[in-house]
Amino acid sequence: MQKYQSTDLCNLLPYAPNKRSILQLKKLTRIFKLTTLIVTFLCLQASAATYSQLVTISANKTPFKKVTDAIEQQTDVKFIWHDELLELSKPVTLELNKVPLEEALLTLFKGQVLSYVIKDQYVIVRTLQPLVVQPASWGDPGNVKGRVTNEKGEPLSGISVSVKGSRKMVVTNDKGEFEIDGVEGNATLVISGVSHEQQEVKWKSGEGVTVVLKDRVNELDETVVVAYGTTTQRANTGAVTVVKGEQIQNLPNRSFDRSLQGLVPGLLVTSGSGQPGGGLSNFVLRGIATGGQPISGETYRNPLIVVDGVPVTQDPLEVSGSSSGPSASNPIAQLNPSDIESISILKDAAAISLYGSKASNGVILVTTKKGKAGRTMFNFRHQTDVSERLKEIEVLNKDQYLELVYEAYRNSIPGIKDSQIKSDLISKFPYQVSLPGDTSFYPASDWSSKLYNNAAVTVVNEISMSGGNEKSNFYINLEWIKQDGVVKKTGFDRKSIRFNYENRPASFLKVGLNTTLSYNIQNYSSGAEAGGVLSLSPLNSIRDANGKFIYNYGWGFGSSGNGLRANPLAEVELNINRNTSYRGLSRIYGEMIFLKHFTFTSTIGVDFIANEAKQKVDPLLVISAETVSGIGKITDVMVRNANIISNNILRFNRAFNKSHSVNLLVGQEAQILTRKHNLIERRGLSSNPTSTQVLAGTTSLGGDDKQTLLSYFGQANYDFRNKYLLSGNIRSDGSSVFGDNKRFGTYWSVGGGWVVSEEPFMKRLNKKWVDQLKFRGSIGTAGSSAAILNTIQFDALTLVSYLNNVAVFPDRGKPGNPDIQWERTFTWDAGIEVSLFNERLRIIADVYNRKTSNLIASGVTLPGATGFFSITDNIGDLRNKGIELSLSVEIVRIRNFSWKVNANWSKNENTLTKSFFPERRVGNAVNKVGYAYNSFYLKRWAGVNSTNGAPMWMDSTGKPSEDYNASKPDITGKIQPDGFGAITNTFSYKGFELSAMLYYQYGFQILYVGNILQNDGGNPYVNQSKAAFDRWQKPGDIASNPRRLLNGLPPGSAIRDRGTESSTRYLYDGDFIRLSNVSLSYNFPKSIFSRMRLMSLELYIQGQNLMTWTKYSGQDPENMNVFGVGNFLYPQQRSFTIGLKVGF
Amino acid sequence: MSYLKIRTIIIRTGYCLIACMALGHTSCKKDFLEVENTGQLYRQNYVKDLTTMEHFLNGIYILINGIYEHGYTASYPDLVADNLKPASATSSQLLLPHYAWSQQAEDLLEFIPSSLSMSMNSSWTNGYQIIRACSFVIEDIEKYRSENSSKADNIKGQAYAIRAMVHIKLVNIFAQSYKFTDDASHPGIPYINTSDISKPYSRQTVSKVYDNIIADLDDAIQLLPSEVTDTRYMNSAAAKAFLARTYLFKGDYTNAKSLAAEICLRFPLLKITGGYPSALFRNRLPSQTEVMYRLVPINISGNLSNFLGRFFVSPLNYMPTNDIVTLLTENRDDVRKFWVTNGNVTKFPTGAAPEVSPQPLSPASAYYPSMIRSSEMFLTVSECAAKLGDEVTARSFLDSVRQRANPSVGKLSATGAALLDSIYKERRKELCFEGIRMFDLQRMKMSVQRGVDAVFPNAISLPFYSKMAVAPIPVWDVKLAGLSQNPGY
Repeated sequence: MQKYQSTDLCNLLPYAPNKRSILQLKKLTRIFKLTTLIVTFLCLQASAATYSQLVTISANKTPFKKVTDAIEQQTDVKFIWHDELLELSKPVTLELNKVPLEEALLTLFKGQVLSYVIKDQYVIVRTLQPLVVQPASWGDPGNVKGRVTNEKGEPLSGISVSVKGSRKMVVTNDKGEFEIDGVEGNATLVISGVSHEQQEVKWKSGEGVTVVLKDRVNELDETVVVAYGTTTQRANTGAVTVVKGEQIQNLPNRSFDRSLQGLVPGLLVTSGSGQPGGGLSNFVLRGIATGGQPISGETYRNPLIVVDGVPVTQDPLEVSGSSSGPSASNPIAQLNPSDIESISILKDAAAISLYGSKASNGVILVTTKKGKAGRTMFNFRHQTDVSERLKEIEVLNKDQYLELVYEAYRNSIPGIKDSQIKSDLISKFPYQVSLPGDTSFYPASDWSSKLYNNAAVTVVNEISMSGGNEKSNFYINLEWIKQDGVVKKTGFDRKSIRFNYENRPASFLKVGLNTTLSYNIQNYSSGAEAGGVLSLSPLNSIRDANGKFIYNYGWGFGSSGNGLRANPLAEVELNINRNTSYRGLSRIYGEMIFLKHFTFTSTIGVDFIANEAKQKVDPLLVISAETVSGIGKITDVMVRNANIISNNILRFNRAFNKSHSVNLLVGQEAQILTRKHNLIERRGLSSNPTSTQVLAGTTSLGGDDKQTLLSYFGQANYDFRNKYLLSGNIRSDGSSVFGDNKRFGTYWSVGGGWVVSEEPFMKRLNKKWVDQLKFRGSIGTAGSSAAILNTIQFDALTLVSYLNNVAVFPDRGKPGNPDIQWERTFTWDAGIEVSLFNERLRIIADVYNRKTSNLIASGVTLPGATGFFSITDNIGDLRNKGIELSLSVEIVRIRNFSWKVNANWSKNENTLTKSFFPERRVGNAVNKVGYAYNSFYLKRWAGVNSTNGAPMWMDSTGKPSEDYNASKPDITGKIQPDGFGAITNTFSYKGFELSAMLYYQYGFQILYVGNILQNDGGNPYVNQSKAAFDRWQKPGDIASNPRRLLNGLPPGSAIRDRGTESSTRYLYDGDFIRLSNVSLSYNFPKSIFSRMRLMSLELYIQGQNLMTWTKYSGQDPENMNVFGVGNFLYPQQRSFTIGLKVGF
Repeated sequence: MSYLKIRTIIIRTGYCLIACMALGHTSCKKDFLEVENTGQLYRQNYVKDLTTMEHFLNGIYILINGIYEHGYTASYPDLVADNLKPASATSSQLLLPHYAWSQQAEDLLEFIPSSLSMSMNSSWTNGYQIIRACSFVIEDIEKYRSENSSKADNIKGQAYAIRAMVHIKLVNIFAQSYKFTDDASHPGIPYINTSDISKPYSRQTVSKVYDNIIADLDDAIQLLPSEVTDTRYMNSAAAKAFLARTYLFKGDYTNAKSLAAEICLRFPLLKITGGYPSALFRNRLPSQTEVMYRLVPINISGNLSNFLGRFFVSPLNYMPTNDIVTLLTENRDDVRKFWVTNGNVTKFPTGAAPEVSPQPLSPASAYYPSMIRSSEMFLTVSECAAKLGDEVTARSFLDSVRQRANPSVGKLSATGAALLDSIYKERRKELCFEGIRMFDLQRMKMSVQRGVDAVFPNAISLPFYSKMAVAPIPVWDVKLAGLSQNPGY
């Protein structure tokens, strides 16, 4: 709506007498100088609303235009109309003497075929009868000329006009005019525009056509991008959710995947870490449907993302990912979300099966912006976000910490003296000697303020230019983002450019280009979160008495006693962890129309990423997981990823005698996916080279992967009077990943829809309040091969030299598996779409059942006499069934005010239905038939024995036992939530819009690795959470934590207490509700920005992640990895945003 | 107008051409889906002639030298019997449960045992990996025979012999000895003779396993050239020696004796003047050694030799038992007394492979362990002759071994049981720490006696016919392949 208003004004201005507007501009400039923008706007708003001027006119058969000119001179109003309307006006005869303006206008328009509306200080003139005016002068047979206007009579540019049943299509120029050659008599023209309702008009040979389009109030006819084409919400037979670019543009996320949280029923998005530009731990549509275990940041479970027809890489750019959380880098963050026009999330078989073997996790289609015919538009956007860390777990202060440490010593070594304890601590921790013999520890350091930045600023600036004419259109956007992370010296910077261009060199031909390039620098942190800064002993001072860093700590940080750990602040200052990425995503396409009903499209697309990952460990600091400092290390990893896609599609569209409409599609597609990486490492830095220094290291790791895919597909859609919809898809995919005999997989789907509201009986009954009632259903299959590499069918060899000869020996862990099969997902989906009361209430509900067979998993145990440990193989079947509900209701819709509520709820139940293994364990999770894939498999914690303080677990008879081994693990929870969704309230008043989104997620558990912060003395020197203070001290104590023992050892015993081992002690419900976004925006009224020669002006503020309600006591319920482990990850943030959008 | 028309035609033609090119580029050529992966080598595309097959065979030697013959597992037959003991009883010690005859069936997956290992799973998996690789060579080499038939024979023969050698060791670790039942019908191990890991397998009887071992070795002997040029590779003499050992273990003394005697002629005992005993573990030409097949210390891409010698130096893992120390040092003129020094095993020289580059991490692994040698063959002839009633031959072959190590000792005159005892004693002394002791005891149906030397009070003696004398079958083979577990586990 708002967009449209700005466009139409642009078209109007040249027609309006503009002397006054210049004057007004001058006035406005003065006001600008006097007061702030907001105040200005408020004043003007008030004055505009209260004009009441008197008119005195005497006219006798005076031309209409002269009278309106006179009114303009006497008052502040301005008439807006189109020249053609002038021809319709009749001369005026009237006598007015100091008549109020409203009355004057009433008199003036009496007897005219024209009418008017008053908007602010404009009088917009339009025709009385909104439809067809037929100037007889237009048109030869076979050649349609026409004009499209809105209800105000303003010309509409960029409106597409097509001939029904053929592929002829043109776009209106900036005068709203169009012309189509070679049209048969009695053809039906379909006129549609993005912000207007579609309309069909009969054309009679030899006549011109004028079409008046209504502004779109109706979402049902909006274009929906689907697999290899478009449709409308009304005609779609698949389960598809559309998110518009403007819904996510302002969110303080650098990648659009993150921004989809809560917007799409069925799509679970969990950010994992808060690393700017980082990956997600969950991006799962309708439940896990693949066997692949993403143990180091892999993206097997993610839906396929296709941007402008090119499937994009989501796999992390590091060579070896992180197992504690999502990967540091996320290739999706290299694409500017502002360039997105719309995102379609395809969910059921009817929607996805045309993507075949890569679609079983769902498909996300992203369409980028396009220029519109008409004036060249510029849009500038600025946004500043200020972020702070979300809450942190409270840890003990120095006194409490020492109390626990001393207690552990005393419990384990009865009779130990305090002086002995102190001297032991002195031997482990840094200390200062103020006087000889007077040693003391340093005062506790304030890590929090040193390591974190609680007002991390992100600045976003972008400027776009777009426009076009009937022959071509373009969109160019330049973007510059600088984001500082809440961990110091981390952040994400992106500079991107997008250029989309389309040209019609001939009426039957269209060629176009979508391309984006981006340059990204990501600084991530390795030390600040991974080591659990919270666990740092308060005795470990950041700096020594001379103010120099204490570079490494021997004790009291991470796992003590295993050598040194680097000072995390020194790591932040001295080490480098940087990804520099270059991304290019381009598509070039051509489309040719021939033989009336046929269209042939050919596309070539490339997704290219080059990433340089640089890591440096300063020689002063110890290398993580090693024991001595003074070595230093520089690692340089180069990853190059290039995917090429080419497809050729032939379409046939035809309508037969009004009732039947058929469109057919056949296509062929080929893809080449390549990835190459080299890791160069240099160790033993004698000096401290700068990171940019060229490395003379050894290539210690490298790889070169190539995969090819060849596909054939077809689709048939049939539509009978917009009532009965049928669609069928089939796709055959061949992949080089698979062995000769399993190379091709074929996928299909059938979908149908019944638009009940189009039935005559319904129309008669309910026309007034039912906009649409549609039932739809689909069944079909899709596949997945993402979890396998091209090399799966082969046995890898290592090449070495042996006794001066060449030797190759089989890789011990990886036997080939030429018999592996595609993962195959069979889905049925039934949906209902209801739209009532003039679109005020919309309900979409879906139930589905997806069965994935032949789950592919790596690390499948083999019996030893095979000579291998494990293989990648098909392991069983999995079922996801669920319900999705989305509701949109406009509770209040009055003149200037509306209150709209959007709510959605998704529930999914994931069950392993078949497995060749009784219990496949993956860390703390298990895959067992009858339970969710990756369920928690833990021993049950039975609390603390109040007589001796020993930890207890439930043994197999259900009694508490101190023997850890007597307890059997059990399924104790699940990682993926039962349900999730969001409720968004949106209030609009005039140009103001206030919206608030609550996101919720429930029915899942988190295994908190806080055991380091609650370790009962097993790791005695690290700091503890406040919760650890409640511990058993003497017989009879009822405490939540067991006795504290030094290194877990009871006095005189060599058998440790095992309280910190995996059990339900650290398992928490993860349920949470989050006030995830509140935003307030103000669209300045036209009256203001038009005087500033602007096309639009919007100011907004927002808060993100404002409140979270949860029982989980870890860092944040989203700080978890794919296996449900709540790790010490990069903190999540709360952020506040102020932004400005200007169109000119 | 006509200009426009021409232009249109040109555009149309041009576009059609582009479209055709696009189509042609990605056309349905079948080979589009054939992707050669250049970033990594694969057996399927690497091995394509005799030369590359030889490279693959070299790879099998790397597996043997780097992983399979690891000190942990090499110690096993001496440790679970009475030649070695753990240096301490702390929980970080390796193979403690094995020493204490308290192994447990495990689902642990590991290539190298750790202090947590309760079983011999790693020997099982490593052994079968080599067996599978040998099977591949045997299956595939016929494709390339036309290139050079005698070279193909040689490669194939080595693969047969190695496959048998590994099975011999596995059947001894995981199954009761041949004589456990009268007809050896008790469960042995799967004898794997295919590289296809998807084929099911089961435990064959010990009798059947021995038949297969003999068949493989017979094939090897047929194929391998009779001349031995390098004892770092499997050869016909070693194959015959392994066959002699197999017959001995089976109780087929006639065949054992004749084969062993043949080897004794070809590989006479290494004399003290020739460098005995330490030269046994150095790389020598076949004419200058009595070792028919030896390992090579390597340090190659993740395959690092950790031979048994390393476990006798700091950090000290194993020590000789008092028994074996007494035996080795009972005669001060016996050069074998230097095999133990100050209560440590010093049989294997350190730094004895200076020609190897890069050197193994520990110099104590830098030597060439013997897999089979003439001394064993002499003792086999002696034992078989004694069993067959030819005591003269028995004494003569036994004396060769005794007098070689201790020239001052006189000729033996024992007969009957005393003669056999002398043979067994000499066998224990000569072959100590070379990975055969427990298997000898088992085939001789003898108990393990440790006496007061035992590190654990409950592991002093193990009678013959003990369930705990063999290792448990790995749990995954029981669960997934349906193998029967050994009783007691």
